[in-house]
Amino acid sequence: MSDGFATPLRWRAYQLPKRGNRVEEFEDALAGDAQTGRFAVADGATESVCSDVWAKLLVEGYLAQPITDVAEWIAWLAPLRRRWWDDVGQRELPWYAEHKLADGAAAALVGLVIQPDKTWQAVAVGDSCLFQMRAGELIEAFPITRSDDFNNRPRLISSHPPKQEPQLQTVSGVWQSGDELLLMTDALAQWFLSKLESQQDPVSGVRYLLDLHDNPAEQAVAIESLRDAEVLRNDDVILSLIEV
Amino acid sequence: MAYSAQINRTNPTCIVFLVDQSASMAKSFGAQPDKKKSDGVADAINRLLQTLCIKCGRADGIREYFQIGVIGYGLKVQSAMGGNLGGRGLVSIGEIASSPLRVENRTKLVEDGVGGVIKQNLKFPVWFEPVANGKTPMRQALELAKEWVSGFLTAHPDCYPPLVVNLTDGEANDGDPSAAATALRQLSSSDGNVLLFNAHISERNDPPIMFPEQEQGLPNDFAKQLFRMSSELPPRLVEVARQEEFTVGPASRGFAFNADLVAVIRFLDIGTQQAKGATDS
Repeated sequence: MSDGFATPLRWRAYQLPKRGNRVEEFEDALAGDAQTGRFAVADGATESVCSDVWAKLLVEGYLAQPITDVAEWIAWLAPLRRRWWDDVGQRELPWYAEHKLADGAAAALVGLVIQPDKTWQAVAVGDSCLFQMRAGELIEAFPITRSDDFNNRPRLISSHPPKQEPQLQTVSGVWQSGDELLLMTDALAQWFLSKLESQQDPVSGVRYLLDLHDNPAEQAVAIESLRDAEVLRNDDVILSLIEV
Repeated sequence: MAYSAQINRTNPTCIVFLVDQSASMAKSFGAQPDKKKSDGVADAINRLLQTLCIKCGRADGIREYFQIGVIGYGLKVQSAMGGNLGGRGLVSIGEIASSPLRVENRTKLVEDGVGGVIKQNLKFPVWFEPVANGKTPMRQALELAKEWVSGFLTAHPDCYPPLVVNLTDGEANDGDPSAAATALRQLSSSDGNVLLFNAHISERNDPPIMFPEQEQGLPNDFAKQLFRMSSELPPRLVEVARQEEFTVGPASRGFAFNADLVAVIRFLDIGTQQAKGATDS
């Protein structure tokens, strides 16, 4: 790993809960460090318990120690699993939540490391996505490449070791000045891919959203209008845009 | 596309359970001869309600995705809610979770997820005790369900279509229930028609049947009639059932013989679930 960038990368992010949910019910997590070039997004599964805690552990774990080697995947997860259990295993929970505890929490993860040597490496499990764009053209979509490939039952990372661990997917590439690297959770990623598939430019929409950063109400209106038009599934939204 | 409305707190749906409480339910249950059918049905409804509460449960409380009604039919046709909820029609899933008749404490060995096994004390709420008394006024029960569901649809016209689950040994004796079943299935929200599923519990020790595509092969006329009264599974549910490794086809109906319908609750989409196998530790 390098020591990072002399000048921090330009990084902007946005998050909004699913319509009808309160902010504290947000189950996704994002983390980033524009100096080291490390970024991650995790999406906690709605139906599992304390998945917000798990999503946060995954992104923080990735930023602290970005996993790159598939062979180290299980060992990388082990301390995070222990921390999840240490945190939630002792909590006083209502009876219905106690029943879920033994199943653990689940989350999708996408992590990205951008290196000053013009390379990048990414990992993913589940349906949170990375896109690399160059002058409006898609250079890389990872790990999902088509809008039809999203469903409500992705293989996720569980806080409890399953019989069969989902495989860590990896990809790497090179970047040029002016490229945009985007990380996002599934609903927005599906929208992003469907725009590309219909020869439209999703990046301008993303920029518009981020440019409204000092006006959260307008940002929410922009997302809600997409939800109303049913081009964006009602789900937690996380967006991270890194301009290199 | 029908049956695609998202179930959430601003747009909840409703589930009505019809519980056969007739005298014939005192006979033994084929799959478990030491049990009465009424025990089997009480177990089934308690497990269905537990599953629903767990599905909506979070560390910080219950999310109100469902309004739930339970109609008992036997000596009378009426709300079968007991305890604090006695006599009520549709109630929220949060009220159900906090108002059981009693709670059984059981100890279960569970993996702690980090290589160890711990004893976990789990609470199993019970809302219904077995009842077996009177005739089988299934037609009237379906008519009462139609009233309740109609009221819900007026207030929630764009909801995921309500689900009615009938648990019975199948022998209606207040006239042919088929027309009442059809009338119930014809109710609709903007997202599709009301779904009527039937779980037939029999004295016969026949192997369980889930989601059959045709009535041929069902063991008796009652089962066949209940099959005909049951809704076809919408394509999305067929797809989820297939992912859960049930044998289903495009003509599969929401019908179970000597099997419970707890899986149906898992099929209801309230957000991202883990794929099957992800947590089979």
